[in-house]
Amino acid sequence: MNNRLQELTKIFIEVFGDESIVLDYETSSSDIDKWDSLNNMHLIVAIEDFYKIRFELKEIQSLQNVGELCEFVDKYLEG
Amino acid sequence: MPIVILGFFICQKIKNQSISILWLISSSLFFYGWWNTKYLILIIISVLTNFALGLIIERTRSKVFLILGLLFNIALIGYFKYANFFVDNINLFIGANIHLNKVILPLAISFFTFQQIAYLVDTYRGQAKQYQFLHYCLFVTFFPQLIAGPIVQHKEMMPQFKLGRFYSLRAKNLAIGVSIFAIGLFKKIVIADGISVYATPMFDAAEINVQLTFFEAWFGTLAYSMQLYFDFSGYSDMAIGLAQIFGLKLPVNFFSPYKALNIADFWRRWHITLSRLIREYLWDPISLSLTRLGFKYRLSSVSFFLLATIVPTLFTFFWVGLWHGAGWNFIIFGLLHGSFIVIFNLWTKIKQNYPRVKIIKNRHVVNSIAWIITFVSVLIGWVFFRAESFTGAKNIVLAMFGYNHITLSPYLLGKIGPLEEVLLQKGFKFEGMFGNGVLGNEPFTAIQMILFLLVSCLVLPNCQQIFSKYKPYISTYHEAVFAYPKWFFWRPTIKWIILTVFFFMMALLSLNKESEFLYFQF
Repeated sequence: MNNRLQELTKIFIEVFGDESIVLDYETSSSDIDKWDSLNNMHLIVAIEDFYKIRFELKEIQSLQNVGELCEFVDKYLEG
Repeated sequence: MPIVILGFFICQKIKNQSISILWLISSSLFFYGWWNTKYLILIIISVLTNFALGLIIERTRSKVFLILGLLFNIALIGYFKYANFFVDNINLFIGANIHLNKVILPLAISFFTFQQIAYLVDTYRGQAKQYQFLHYCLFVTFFPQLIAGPIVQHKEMMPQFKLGRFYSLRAKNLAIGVSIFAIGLFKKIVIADGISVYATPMFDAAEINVQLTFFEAWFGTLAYSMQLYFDFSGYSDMAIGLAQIFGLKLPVNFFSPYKALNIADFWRRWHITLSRLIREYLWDPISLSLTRLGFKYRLSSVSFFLLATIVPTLFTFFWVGLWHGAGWNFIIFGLLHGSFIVIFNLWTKIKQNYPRVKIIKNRHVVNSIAWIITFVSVLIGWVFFRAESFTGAKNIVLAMFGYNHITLSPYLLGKIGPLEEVLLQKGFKFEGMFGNGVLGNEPFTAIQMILFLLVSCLVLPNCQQIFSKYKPYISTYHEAVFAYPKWFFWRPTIKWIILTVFFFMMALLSLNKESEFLYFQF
């Protein structure tokens, strides 16, 4: 699980160009300045691309925090 | 209005929820029919058809029926809202001479059509549960929100209809509801209608090519920005207040939009329920598929930005513009805001690449500059939003940027020393700041009032903040911190009763003047 968080942190840093980003399960879009609806899709697709998975739109829209993001990724990698 | 509340109160005594709901639906339809009985049938057909389609889609998950439903709604709004515009342009461009009788725009058609489109899409995605017919009717027609928003979503309204809270009239809800309503009424009748006398003449003058002065163009536009905000947000407050009287919560539609420090934030604060609708059903799906496309073909950063940011943003804002009305000025308004968003995005990208470069260090200075850029962009957008023709809008924007020279007061002549020479050389003139009289006989009183309102917008808390202890609304904007003194917050005290009565009295005293809700035609 912790591994997943590290991988995601790398993607976040790359997409938002901010080395100082530290993620935990509770991190949400209000904690990261640049994480808004404009950048969200870029982030999501970067994650899809890294794991070679595809989220559903309603999952993306219901996303509350990084913890849920991890769960979605796990769900797709297991299934 | 009091009859509706009284009736609701009686229904509640009977303790039959269906009767209470029926009462509210028929009152809503009554209000709607008051305006135009013919279109009453239209809204009823729209509700019945969409409910039936919803049932079918839920059972079958058939894409065919979803598309049918979308076509039905788009045809409805296409005919009633955009047919004239479309035919006019065809005639203009290919010189045809198609004649179409002027279609009168049905009240609130955008609101009830898009709410139902969202409902059908959610049903197809399996995000809408089986709803009772009466609940559905109330969701669409509920009169406080029907005419000018907020645009409600079924997933936030339907669950409330099941709660007992809704069916009982409570003193607390009544007190809060009436207070919010009074604030909204005051904003609309006293402030918005009051300031409109400084906005309308300027826009009228621009249409007939009057040479507006620099200051007239700026203050006229500023006056309009105040009129529009207080009108529309006042209306939304009234809707929230009314709904609260019946124990229902509506989503917040405005969160001090003129405090925004960037244009993206402005759209998170302005007409929030429209922005989120557009975001969920237009922006998200389009930008998701285009971003995937960009990743798939490993585009370079420039083409990626073009495909994944510029295209979806302009496309989305094109529709935001058209949503507001069938006219080229609205399309320009939309595209203008789309471009602002693109530029803002580009700017954040540039900042990302040079994180260490900071030209100005002082946070307050940076924020002030950011606010000015944002607010001026918004003002220029409003010019196109309000002006009746492109020529009118062009005249105003040119005057704002000093095209007609900047004219100062002749009283300054001989009093400012060597500065006079410099200004004359730069093209300034001393022929009076307000030569056309569009700000009335006492332009400086007008300016004081406009600036007073602007400052109020920037320093005062909004309705959501004032009532934050009771949350009589659904939050739609999350502000990190706000520190206002305690007395800003509403409490059931004598002070707030007096204020509420004051708001009502002021509104009633101004009511005899002719008044019109700006947003009725959308």
